[in-house]
Amino acid sequence: MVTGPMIIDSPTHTRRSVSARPTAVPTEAGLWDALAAQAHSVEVNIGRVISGKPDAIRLAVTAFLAGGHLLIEDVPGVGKTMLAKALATSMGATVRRIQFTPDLLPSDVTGAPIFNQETRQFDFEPGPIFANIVIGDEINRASPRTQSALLECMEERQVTVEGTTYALDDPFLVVATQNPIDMEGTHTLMEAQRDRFMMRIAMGYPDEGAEQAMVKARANGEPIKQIGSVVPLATVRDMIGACRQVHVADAITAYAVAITRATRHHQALRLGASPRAAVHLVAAARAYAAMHGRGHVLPDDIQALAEPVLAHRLMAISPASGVEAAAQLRAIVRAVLAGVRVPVPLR
Amino acid sequence: MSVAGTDAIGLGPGGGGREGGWGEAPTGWRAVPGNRPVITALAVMVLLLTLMVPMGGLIEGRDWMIWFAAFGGGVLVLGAVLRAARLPGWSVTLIELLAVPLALVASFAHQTAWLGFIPNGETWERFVAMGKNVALAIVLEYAPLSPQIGLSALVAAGAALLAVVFDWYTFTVRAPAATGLFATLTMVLPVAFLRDGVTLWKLAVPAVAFLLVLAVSNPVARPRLQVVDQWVHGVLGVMRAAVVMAASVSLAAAVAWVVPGLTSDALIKPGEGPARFVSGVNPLVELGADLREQGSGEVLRYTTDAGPLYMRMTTLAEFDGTRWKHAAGSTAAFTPSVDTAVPWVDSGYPTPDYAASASVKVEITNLRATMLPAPYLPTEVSGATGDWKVDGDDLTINADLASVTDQVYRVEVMLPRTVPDASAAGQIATSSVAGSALADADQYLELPPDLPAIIGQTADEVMAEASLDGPDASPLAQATALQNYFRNTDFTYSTTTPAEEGYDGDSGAVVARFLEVKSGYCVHFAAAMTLMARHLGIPARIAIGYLPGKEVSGQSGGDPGLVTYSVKANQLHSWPELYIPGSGWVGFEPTAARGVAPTYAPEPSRTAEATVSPSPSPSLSASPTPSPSASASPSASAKSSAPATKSGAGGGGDGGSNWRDWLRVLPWVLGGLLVLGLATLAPAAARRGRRRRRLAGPRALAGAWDEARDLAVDYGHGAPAAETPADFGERLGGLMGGGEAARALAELVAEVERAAYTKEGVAGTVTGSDQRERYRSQIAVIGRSLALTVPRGRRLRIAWWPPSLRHPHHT
Repeated sequence: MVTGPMIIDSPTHTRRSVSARPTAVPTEAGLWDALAAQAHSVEVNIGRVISGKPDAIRLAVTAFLAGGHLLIEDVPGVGKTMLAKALATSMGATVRRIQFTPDLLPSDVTGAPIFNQETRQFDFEPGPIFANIVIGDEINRASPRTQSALLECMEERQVTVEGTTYALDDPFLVVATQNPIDMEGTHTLMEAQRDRFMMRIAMGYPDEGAEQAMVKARANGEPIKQIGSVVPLATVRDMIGACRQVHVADAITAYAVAITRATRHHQALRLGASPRAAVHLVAAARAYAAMHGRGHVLPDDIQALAEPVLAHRLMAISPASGVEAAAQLRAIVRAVLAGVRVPVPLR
Repeated sequence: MSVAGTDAIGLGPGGGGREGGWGEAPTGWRAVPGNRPVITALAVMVLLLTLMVPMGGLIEGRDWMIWFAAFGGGVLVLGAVLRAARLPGWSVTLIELLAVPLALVASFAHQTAWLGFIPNGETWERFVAMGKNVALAIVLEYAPLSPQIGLSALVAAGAALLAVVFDWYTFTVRAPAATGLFATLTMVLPVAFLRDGVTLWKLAVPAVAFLLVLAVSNPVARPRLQVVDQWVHGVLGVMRAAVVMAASVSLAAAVAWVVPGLTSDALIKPGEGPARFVSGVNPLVELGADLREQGSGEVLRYTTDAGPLYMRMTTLAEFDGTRWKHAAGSTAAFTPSVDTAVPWVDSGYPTPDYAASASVKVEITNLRATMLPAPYLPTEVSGATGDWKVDGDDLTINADLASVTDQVYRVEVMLPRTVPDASAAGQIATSSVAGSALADADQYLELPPDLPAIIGQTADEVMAEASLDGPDASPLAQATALQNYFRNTDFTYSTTTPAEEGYDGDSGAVVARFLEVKSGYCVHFAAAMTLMARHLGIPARIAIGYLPGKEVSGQSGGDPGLVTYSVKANQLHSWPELYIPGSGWVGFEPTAARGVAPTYAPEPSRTAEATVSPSPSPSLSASPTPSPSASASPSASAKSSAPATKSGAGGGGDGGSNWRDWLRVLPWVLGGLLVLGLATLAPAAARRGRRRRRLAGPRALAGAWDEARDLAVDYGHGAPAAETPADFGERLGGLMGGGEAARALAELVAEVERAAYTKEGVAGTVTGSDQRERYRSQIAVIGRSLALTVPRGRRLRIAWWPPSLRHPHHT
């Protein structure tokens, strides 16, 4: 129904409102406010099709703006794919979906040279990876070989076929979904592969009212068809660039590193977070801060993102199974946070 | 709702934050409570100066007052000037503490110091010497202490220190009430050391001055404790006042109780070993106490070939009816290490025609005193170290910058020539005395107008019985008759009877009572005989010193003529000295049980007590000084009389001594209570001081943040290290129920975040007084609001002992 950018009066985040910024440069303050308003409009837009999941939506937007990739792990039918699609639609981005199956080949992802009858040459036929947002459904069902092909694309943001390198779209976001319930014939992502995802989020079941709304909305047809783009893709690129300019104080870097390092000798963990985890944590915190209209990262940003950014990289000594595994690791991250001092460098 | 609650309960007078104490600068005049710095400073000055009122009588003369006022007032004025120049509070105190020693050096040791005020090793030695002398005087003498330079320095230093403390508490800590505690502590001094105590009105003067300080410093507007809840504030205020009041009231009560009983023994009784000697205005009563209490340890020994000798230390000549005092006459400096000749002997002193001389080697074994024991009449002293002064009236030698402790010295004495003709005693008067007339005889003849008549009557009766009441009677014969009167009749020696009978002392009334009861000790005998001699027109005074002691066998050191005598602590003695024309000052011994009568005054048979010796003609065959025979053991005779009186007075004495013992403990109990009271208020004061320090200076924001976190800890809400500033603000804001305090905290959090995490904040900004003021009011509001998150009882406990005191947060 509503298409085009939405005018948002003021951001009303579920988390507490952002602290006052006493003496930021006016133009800069205006920049962050505008960014926050746009990000918020995206969130609201997505919220129209994903009811009752504002946190998941915000984290998805955060990962997108931070240039990271997203792993959504949950039971089927809670709207994982819908979230990815809505995100793409809201930003006017191209979206393609790959349904992973055990017989999917790497070239089915990247694309392959096809013999052109007319030119009598092999032309490169781009695979589904060539899109702003690529949905990799049930990535754990693919063979490890195909999985690693996808992960390579994620990391390098380019595809090399027959010696020719093709750059992927910008922005580029992989949203991989995974079913946490062990099933026959699945290949759960290995630690090294999980590490490439900036965040893992869980959708969780909607609450009763939200679920009813979902059912009703279906009556009007496919909900995703009813929303449109609220921020043009060019603006999204600017926003991603702006997020990289968010100031990170030395103390914040130290804090992120301290948290990451603390996971490495936590007694309940077999494997802690990698240095890449700290990089992802700070990058995500930049975007998160910008989305809250701030030009600087607060320890609060780090804390808010520690669970989704760190949990999926950890391995518990005695892991729980299924959905509880993620909850267990999140609890451990919270425990780690409680043990790391927040630096407040005042002179 | 919460806002309304805060307003209703939390904010009392001046509670708007800016109006309160925190709205003011941390230092400088504006910091003064109630914004009346000049008046407050004046009130503190008045309090300091009024402290001299109860202290009057501790030291003789008025010099100490000048020093007290100059140094105490000087420090306060200096502090006022520095604060007017807006120096930080701690630096004012620092400068004061630096200035005081320099001023002390310039005032008391400028001869030794470079440029007159820069101390050096010599200065230090001088102060050490002064300190030793003062310590000695305090231990040995009774109030009022005779003035000496060290005492002045001590007074000046004490006044200066007190002023520094006053200044610090009033203007830096902004707790003017604390001055009361220190003033009270100061007032313990006179109460403890003045034997008559302090009258209530004297204590009331500083008390009024203290109330003045409290009034003008406006306690209501005083800076808040961290709890600014009016109720808790009130309770703490009442506590403070109660401590001060309790101290003052109990001191006053103690004074009222103690006036008749407390002697300075309570505080300054020297330990077991050392003997001591007494001086000052009223030593005689203490002498009695000494005789009762002192042990039999040796104090000195002397070696001579001249036989046993009385060792004189001082004399008392001035008598006003209640007290004997040393007559303050001319003194001459005497440094034996430079010139051994005793001043005055060749000039001005009435020296009779003494012929024999003797050499006496004195060894002080265990005596702390400021007077040099010497036989009469000393002409030269060698071997004694230190600076002394010699009294021109009695040739007693007093310390200037010296002590007798462990001294070994040799005294050359002139021994009186044997008087040739006993029967012609009257004629001696005109014979061979150099400077025959006693220059200032009047002071030795002065009798107080209210002297009880019995003294003169008794003297006249004695003279009448001895047929010496004619105008031609020789003074020596009269004196001898008086001596015999005391030695002959039924006078008994007792150190305890006077105390039990209630006439201990030396006043005219006591002497009169002694003449009725006829029982006492040397003080009474000496005082009575002196007064009676004066009544008869014979110049007389009381000498104080030691009996000749007992011969030590085998100590003669080879020379058969030399004999060593050992003098013990309980041989402290007093005896009359009468001026006999022609013979000079002559010692007599009316105390039969202690000394032995001089041979020119032969002792009549004591067994024939009804028979008063009619002998008006003393056999002046021997020397005119008392020369007790060494064979008689004074201590033995004293002991023999002691049990008799003791058994007669059995149990009553014990009860009295218990009461006295309790009184002696009282000052310590009071002091302990005061310390306890100070300790009770100390944690809250420390906490307040910490807040003040934190919120001053360039790191005020960090200080405010630490303070906010400590407040959370104080009130049991905690401040985990892993909590972000925003989370902390949100959590406490919720606890405080929003409103002004939550807003203030949110503002503070925003400033902290900006300073800690933004590009501009990390680059650093200058904290101005505006910010400091804002932080101060924020913290004040937060503190008030947090106080209301806990129950009242707990609030009080927190105010008394803030939990954050032990582990303060530090950013």
